[in-house]
Amino acid sequence: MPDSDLLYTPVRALAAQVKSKKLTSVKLTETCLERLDTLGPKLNAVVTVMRESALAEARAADAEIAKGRYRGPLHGIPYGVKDLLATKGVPTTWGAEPYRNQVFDHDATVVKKLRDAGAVLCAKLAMVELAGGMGYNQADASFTGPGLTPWNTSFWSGGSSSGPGAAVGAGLVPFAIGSETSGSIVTPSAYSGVTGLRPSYGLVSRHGAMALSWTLDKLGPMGRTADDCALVLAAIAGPDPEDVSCTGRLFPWKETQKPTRALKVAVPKGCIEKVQPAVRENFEASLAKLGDSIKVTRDVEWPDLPWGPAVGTIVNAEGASAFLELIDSGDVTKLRCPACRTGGYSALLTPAVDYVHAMRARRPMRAAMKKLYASYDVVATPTRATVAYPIDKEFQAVYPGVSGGPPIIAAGNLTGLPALALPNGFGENGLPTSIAFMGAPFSEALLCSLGALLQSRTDWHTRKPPAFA
Amino acid sequence: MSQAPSPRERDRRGFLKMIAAAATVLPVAAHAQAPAPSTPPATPPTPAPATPAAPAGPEHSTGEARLLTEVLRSRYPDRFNETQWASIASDFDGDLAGGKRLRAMKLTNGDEPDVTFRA
Repeated sequence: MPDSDLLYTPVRALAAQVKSKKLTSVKLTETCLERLDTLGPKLNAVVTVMRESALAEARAADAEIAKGRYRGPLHGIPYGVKDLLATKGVPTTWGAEPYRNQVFDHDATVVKKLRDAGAVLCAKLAMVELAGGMGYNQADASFTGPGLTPWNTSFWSGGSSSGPGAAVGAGLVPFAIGSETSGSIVTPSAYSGVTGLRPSYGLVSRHGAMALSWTLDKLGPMGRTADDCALVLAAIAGPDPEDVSCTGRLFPWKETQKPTRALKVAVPKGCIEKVQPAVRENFEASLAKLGDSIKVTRDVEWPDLPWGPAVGTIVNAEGASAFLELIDSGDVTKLRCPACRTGGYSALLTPAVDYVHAMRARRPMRAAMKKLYASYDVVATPTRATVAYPIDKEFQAVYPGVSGGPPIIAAGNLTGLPALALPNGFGENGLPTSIAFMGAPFSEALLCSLGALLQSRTDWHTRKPPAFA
Repeated sequence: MSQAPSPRERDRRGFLKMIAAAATVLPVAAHAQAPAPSTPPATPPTPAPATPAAPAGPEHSTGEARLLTEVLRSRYPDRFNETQWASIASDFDGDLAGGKRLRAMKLTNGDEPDVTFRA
């Protein structure tokens, strides 16, 4: 197998090779580091390559495995994290110039949990500055430059987890950790042609992660397959006294479970009518591939509630508080994207009444979602209405007239629901499209099983971007 | 328990008086000084980033948006050029439109915020 193929191999298959000692963690890690060093800059995907510590961790993994102390499927597997997760002694930049030299003296809980699972941290990956909290309107919104999708480097890899998307998509790492406040895992997964899992709010500790919005922020895996994402989630889910939002739930995952009955799938009204033609065609083809494993109901009415304004108000208020010093001091004007230099200021004057109103609205919103999921197992939509945006234009100047219909991403994030994004074909300019399955709270096992079923019947997740094969 | 007004609160009250007094003239003055260009919204049109889409800003910001912009200008008088202030006014337009839609959602008196404080 060529070295480059290694990093396009699903985690479970890599794990089998590592466990059986056909492949060493050091070999795998060296391949990963080589690709991060040589290909990472071509995608603006990497902030810091952690060569020495990664090789030390890999050597330790090989030594343990040689002694018969195998920790599980992530043992010896390299990965990267979005550069908003604290790593002791290594810069954690939040993608933003004012924090370029920031160094913490502790590791984020997710990093600790992955270390306990034996995974090998190879790199801090690029991201949109402050996870987009200051309101960016173009791809070039990070001190590392615009994240580029490996499928066509004139286009964006998505945000705000742009580095994790590009790095997994180009086979620089087998998996990565991203974060989502409202769309930041599923969007780069779609634009980079990878599989991404936004967990339920409260399943994964955010301790040590940059806070943008305490009541919306989530961390989750981005990888090659739904099974990979589930394996990683199993390692990072669970209690953490350092994060009061953690429910303490675990996510046990051994292998995919074939659904024992046809899953009831809702397709919301208006979610495919105005998307790009290839997005719609690929979405329909994906549903057809699932055949009699699902029972589809179309034109399901989406609850008519102010999803977008509620997310906007909450992110404005919580984000302005989280970054008050940065905004008030004027250091925010050192950000890369011009819109981000001014975007935090109007948020400073968010009425307290509006914030409280948005937080009050979340209860009836959750009730509306609970009612919906009493009738359906899964909501299926195109992850994004379009393929990726070009890097040289402001977002709103591209793809006029295209719409994904109801604000599914905003609704899912406001109510803490999990979602799985899966590559499902290609559209304009050779760019990937994606389908999303969103479920009830803590239904990740069902989502991943459904995703694995789709991936067992298609090969989109095995495709390699030609320039990075 | 009541508290003595902090200097910040007194400042805010004074400022509100100023706003009230200026309400009839400031929009005109602001318009004369810095007609808002048709700047794009500061947030993308789709919910890709953490910050959701703001509606497209009107060609000229509303009086309320211009007033709020003046609040910030008084706080940070030398921070931005006129194009940037116009962009901020456009942000306020989006925030105000969103706030109006949010407040249109009827809640009952007993609907509590979806956060729990614990002693």
